[in-house]
Amino acid sequence: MKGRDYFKELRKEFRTAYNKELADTSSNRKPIAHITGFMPSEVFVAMDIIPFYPETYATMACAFRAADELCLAAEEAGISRDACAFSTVALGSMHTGKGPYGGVPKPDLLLSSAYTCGIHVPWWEVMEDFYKVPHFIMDGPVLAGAPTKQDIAFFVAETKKMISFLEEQTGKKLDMDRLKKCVELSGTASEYFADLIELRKNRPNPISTRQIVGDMYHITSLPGTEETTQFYKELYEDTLERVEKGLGVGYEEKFRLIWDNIPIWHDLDLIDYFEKQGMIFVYETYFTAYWAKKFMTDDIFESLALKYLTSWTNTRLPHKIKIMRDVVRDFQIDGVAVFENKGCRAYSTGQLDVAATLNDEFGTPYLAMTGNMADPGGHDAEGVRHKVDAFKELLESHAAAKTNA
Amino acid sequence: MISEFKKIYEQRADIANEWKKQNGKVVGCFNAMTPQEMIHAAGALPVLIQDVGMDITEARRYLPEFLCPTLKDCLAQAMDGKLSYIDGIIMSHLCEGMRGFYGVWEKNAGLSDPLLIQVPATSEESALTFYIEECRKLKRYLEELTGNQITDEALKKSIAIYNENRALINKLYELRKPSQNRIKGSEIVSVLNAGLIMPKEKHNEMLKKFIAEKTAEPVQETAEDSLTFYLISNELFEAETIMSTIEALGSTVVSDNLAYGLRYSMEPVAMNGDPMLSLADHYLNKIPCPGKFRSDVLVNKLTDSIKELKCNGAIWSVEKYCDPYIFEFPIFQQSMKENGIPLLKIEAEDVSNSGRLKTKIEAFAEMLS
Ligand code: SF4
Ligand code: SF4
Repeated sequence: MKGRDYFKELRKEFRTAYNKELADTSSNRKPIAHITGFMPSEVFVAMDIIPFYPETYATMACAFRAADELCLAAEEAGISRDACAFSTVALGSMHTGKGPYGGVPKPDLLLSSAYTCGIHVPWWEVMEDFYKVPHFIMDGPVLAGAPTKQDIAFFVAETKKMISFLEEQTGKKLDMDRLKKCVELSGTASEYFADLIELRKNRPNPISTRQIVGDMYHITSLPGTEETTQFYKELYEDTLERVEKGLGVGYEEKFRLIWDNIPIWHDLDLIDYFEKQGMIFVYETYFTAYWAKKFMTDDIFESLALKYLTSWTNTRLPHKIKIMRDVVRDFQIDGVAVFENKGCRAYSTGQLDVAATLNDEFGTPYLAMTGNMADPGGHDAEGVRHKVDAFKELLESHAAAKTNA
Repeated sequence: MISEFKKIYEQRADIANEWKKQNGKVVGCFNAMTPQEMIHAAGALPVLIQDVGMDITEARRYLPEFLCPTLKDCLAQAMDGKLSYIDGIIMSHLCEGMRGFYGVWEKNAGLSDPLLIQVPATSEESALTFYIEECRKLKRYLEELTGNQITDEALKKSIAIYNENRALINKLYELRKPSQNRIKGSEIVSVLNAGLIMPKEKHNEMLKKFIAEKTAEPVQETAEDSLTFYLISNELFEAETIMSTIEALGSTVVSDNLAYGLRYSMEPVAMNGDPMLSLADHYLNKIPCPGKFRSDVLVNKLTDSIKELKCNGAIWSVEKYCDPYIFEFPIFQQSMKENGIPLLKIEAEDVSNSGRLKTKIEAFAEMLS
């Protein structure tokens, strides 16, 4: 078994190399494109363009305790703190040059997507206004259910348009064989990730949310590389071994919970606070709906469409409820932590309905907490923890009632 | 005549129920990006569902606090049975609030399942092809709901009626210009509000009469210290409050960017060719909606209008938690700065507190005089 430190070290190496490339100022450096987390990054990898994600940068700023200052700076530049909190953090860095790793790097190109979240386009326009570099908008469908042929055709046409834009801007042609290889690698990495999530159906849960939050870095930054795929292969194998040995996350597993929404990046300790009390997270809507999934078909463009269109924010409520019903059964869920995230309206609207339905159908208790995923301003860490304590009591009384019944 | 328009809006439920008895179905729409001409061509009455100042406590059980008040208010109306006259609902997706709201509405509004129409963010060929398909989906939905076929002839006729409405609204805005000053901004809001829930033919008739009356009136003299403003607002209810406050202080709001004002009326739908294609092209390309249009284009248009009208200042008042406008603001602010146009930002809390609103506007006016 390789253990947590081994993967931590790999992540560190990966991040150092990635940041080194971003900081490269040599004449033959790779171009940098600021893209959203929902665009086919595999294309960028295949074209030797470094994809940079302002959203991921915002999570880093939270880890470095810089988010509050950056949100304030954004506010001074006219961006309301009611906006998507990843945007306020990243735009704060853009305006001030402050933040981890010397601030958000200057892009050569800007590319935004419109289908998974409508915030990206106007956010990128603010960047366009600032950096004065070309901005491509990738359009696509907002799903009304499972992706239809019409939806996929739209996404594929837009991906091809995006490729033409990149070829025009870089003066380089995309090598289709290389793209195919990248998509296949990406598909394999996501499959390992999905299989790893499946392993969490076991009791005890073999891998903690806290660890996966860190281990997402490869797949969210550079899917489609050998290194990323190898990382998830090893992580999967390691987790499987943990299952075989009956190892859990280090705390007693009294209750098994779902975390619904994006993590609170500036207060990840909250996860530990739950877990220390025996409330172990075994499922998150965040991982499975974006990266940990199986999307490969015979057609690489269709595969990309399936990967990028079927995100949680692009999933309709009845389908979310259906998925969550299965999760409650298959992962033997005792409770749901609903994080009503002021920083992301797209994710948060409808959450209460999902939780209430599970409560009606299975009696699964839920805890609703309001906060902000990336803007720490006004975060009531203590108040949230009091709620967690009360939730534990609720879970206990619920369990006792079930035993007595 | 303004009181007549106001009365119509207040009696919207009665009007809809009357329509149902006489004619058929009533179809609710959520925003200006819904091709209402199609609903009209299906023989149904399109009505806009908008913020009316409801108690939103019940709706809050299903919707987060940080969602725009408009959507919460709309759900509250439905849950309270205030929209029971509605037979069909169309939701055009144009903002992040709408994305999750669709499902919550479907589950809790207690009305028939809504149809979600996707509105692409761009307007090139792939987007247009996709949107035309969405319009076809809308056509099928309406035909099924009403039992009426939407023929090309019927659609052309409806487009002509709506185009006439657009031309009449353009005239209203002409009469409002400082050179004419025959109609106030707050009056226009009442006129627009009525048009959003009543049959368009009747609205056209009333508009013609109103315009004739106003044209016959002499040009209004303005006081020397009167100031002129341009209002950026996305909510009719709030816009009316702000405009009335400004007017009571002796100044005027000479134009605005209201979704159902000039933004809707500035361009007619093309009358030649396939009417469905004309409509799709119009809604995708010709309506400068912040949820779908590029911010720089919108800001340039707004800046040009403000300069052309020689406004003394611009006022920005946008619904809380409304993302399309949140991101447009810094670009607009920058443009106002570059063009030396004074700007006042009014927050939602100001609008709901009349004393605070008045003080804020007075202070702004004082700074400009
Ligand atoms: S609002 Fe949510 S989905 Fe949209 S960019 Fe922000 S975090 Fe992502
Ligand atoms: S455009 Fe703004 S006000 Fe309208 S529904 Fe969306 S968020 Fe609410």
